Amino acid sequence: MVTNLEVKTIINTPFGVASEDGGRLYEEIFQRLKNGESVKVSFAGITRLTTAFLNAGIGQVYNEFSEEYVREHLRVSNLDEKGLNLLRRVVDRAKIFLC
Amino acid sequence: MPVLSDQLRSKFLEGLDEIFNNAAVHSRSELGIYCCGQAYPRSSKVKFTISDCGIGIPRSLSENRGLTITAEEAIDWAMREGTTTRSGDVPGGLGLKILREFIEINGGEIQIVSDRGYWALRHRQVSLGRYFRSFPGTIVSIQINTRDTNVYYMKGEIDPDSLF
Repeated sequence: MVTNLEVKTIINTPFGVASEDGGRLYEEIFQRLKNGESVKVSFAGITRLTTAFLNAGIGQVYNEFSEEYVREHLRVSNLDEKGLNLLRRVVDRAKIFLC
Repeated sequence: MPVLSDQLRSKFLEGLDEIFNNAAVHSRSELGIYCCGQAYPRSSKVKFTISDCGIGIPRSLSENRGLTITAEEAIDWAMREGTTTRSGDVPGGLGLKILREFIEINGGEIQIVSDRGYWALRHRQVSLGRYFRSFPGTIVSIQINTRDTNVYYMKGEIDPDSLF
């Protein structure tokens, strides 16, 4: 089972900037992953992103789940090149920081 | 505001967002965050400054990492890749480095004052200094070259399905 999560709906703003909002996204992801579900996170309509938001929203999954589990259960969509670039750096950093 | 390329505009806003967020997360400022900016069309520059009235980078480093170094060395530490005063579940240590990389490619400038420390990046060279009196908080100023036409992202460079 794959659950689709819309970032914009969860944080109620097009700005994925504040770490607190990232924490709200993470709570949604965490609950699903913990139950063995797969999650697809859509960034449609998100116009601004920071590493702080992505660290709190996605980076900390490596604190709870293994790399293999995350790779198997988590997907993202609707990120432009800038967003993909930021997220890749956040993921690489999180693996060093948390794994 | 001068016309910026889409990627430059995006990188500039990303830099500002990272600075604002750093001030909000780390400064513990009880008097808020102040900012101002100005465009200089003739010299193709935009300057923007964000200031908080918080504990400053040296004290943050001392309290969270137990590192007691000079104020300018503390700023220099914060501007390096992979360093963060944060601990616990949420990773950190990227925002200021991404800003620095952007400014180095853009040919702009960063100046930071925190406590008695001064740190500047100009012409891709870092210089450090120390003030006689301390500033109660942190000031980050950035200047960008608005004629920058660099390509910061390539389409298709990263496959979203192999990110993790």
